[in-house]
Amino acid sequence: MPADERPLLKICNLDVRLNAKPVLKHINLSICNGQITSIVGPNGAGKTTLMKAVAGVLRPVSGAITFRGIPIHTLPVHAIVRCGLVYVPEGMGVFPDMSVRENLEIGAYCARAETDARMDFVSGIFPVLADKRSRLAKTLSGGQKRMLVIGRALMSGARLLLLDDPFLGLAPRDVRRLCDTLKQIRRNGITLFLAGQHVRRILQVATRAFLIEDGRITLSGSGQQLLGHPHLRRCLYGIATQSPGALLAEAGFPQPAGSGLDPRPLFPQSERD
Amino acid sequence: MLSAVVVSALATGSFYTLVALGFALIYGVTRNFNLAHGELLVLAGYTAYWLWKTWALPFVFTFPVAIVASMAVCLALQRLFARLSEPLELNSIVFSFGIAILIQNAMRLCFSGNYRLIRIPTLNHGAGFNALPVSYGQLTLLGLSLGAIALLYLFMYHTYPGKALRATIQNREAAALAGINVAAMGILAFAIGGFFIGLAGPLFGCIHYLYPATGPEATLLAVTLTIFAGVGRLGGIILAGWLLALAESITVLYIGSSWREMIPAALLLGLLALKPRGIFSDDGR
Repeated sequence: MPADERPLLKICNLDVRLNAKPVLKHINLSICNGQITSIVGPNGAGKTTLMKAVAGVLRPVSGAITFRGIPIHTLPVHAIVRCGLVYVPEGMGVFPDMSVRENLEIGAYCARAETDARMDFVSGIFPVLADKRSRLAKTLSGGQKRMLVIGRALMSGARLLLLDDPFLGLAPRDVRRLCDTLKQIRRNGITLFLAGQHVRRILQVATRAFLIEDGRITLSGSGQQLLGHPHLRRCLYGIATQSPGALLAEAGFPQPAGSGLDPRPLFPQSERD
Repeated sequence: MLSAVVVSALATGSFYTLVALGFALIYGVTRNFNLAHGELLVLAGYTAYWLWKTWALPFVFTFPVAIVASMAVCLALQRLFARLSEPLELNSIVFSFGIAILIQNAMRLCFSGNYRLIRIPTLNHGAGFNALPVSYGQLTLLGLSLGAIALLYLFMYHTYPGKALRATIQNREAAALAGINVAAMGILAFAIGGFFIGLAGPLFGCIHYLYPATGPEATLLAVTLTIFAGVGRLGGIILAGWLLALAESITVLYIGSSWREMIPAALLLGLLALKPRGIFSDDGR
């Protein structure tokens, strides 16, 4: 196995419950250094829960998460950030009554000595933020707030960025720009883990991708492979056959066994990991 | 006459701000709604009274002792508050209500129910400005309150821990995800809150009679100002303090002193009905 193919993040048999209801079931997944990894799936499949569990916001019932060889599933959120794993939740979670500059400074809270160098790096990636550095964050547009949140995450010196639905609510032009920016971030040696509803966009930028359904990984492969896979199309777009079970599942009802979906992955995980 | 009213309102309002800041900071950072705030303040007042009366300590030297004592009490309380589970607001109200009753009764036991006042005659003397009728007491209130507020401002806006506190007030989840230890910020908030309570307590004992059941007055004041300014908007509290004191002074002047205590309560009710997120909020209904 080549050196840069070593997993940066490894998730083993992860089980997570929300209000005593199992949401993630035996998730096995690993993310390689320097790649963009994407996870797609229907609403409520567990994408956000997975990211929150990795970031330490939710505690798993069982299983292990190791990041750069360190078991992080027992660490508090801020300690995980210090290890270099930063989660950017969906939405525009800025500090509204602080200036853009202060928002970025807070991002470097755990590495204050490097604030200035990181500020230059982030300004290079998001020039808009440099222009508006003294504006209050609440006066920014939606796209700029999203940039600020991602910029803040970069300020911490992240090695792995978890971006939950980074394109949500952005204008198409901003989505294209953000895609280019994500590739630029990756070229700077930062590994990305994306989740979201913009399936085509998210899979196109991905080196490696997963489909999650009802708390289980059901497909894995390269982004292009997943994009062309009939099961993914059936699952996400309801093309060809939309069984009553899948409709019920989409509406939030428990999915009965044998709902007409083929659960077999095309590229079984054991072959890849 | 009017200038006297304004000077008195400025001094009293600055003191009100001092009373409210500890509460506002603790609530903003930890979402613990500390109903025992007033009791803690009166306890600091009693500490100063006891030192001044029994040990004949000069009044100035009661401040450091009261500050250290109330920071210690606040940090001890923080350990208990930290054990509460969600919903934090509700649970902390019930919990701190119990603590308030406990402290009230402890104070009745230790200091009896008699009215006490820290009498410093020089504080009532005029400071000798011909144009402005201002007493040394009012100058002390103004100086200490504004000094402490300025100190807090410098800390919150020009140091990293202060910025982290503001970040935690504005968005707890995002603060944690930015690498801020939110639990440690809670401890810091209680420590600073204790500092402000310890500073305000002895002053309270100078301008107001100390008795075990007077705590809720201070709590009401703190709650009113915090809601008036909007939770987490520490800058708004000083303006709120001055406005409230001015409203009180005008009421006393034109309607009668027996109506003074109606003002914060009426203001609180009006605010909750019309501007529940604070007078300076962007999204008032």
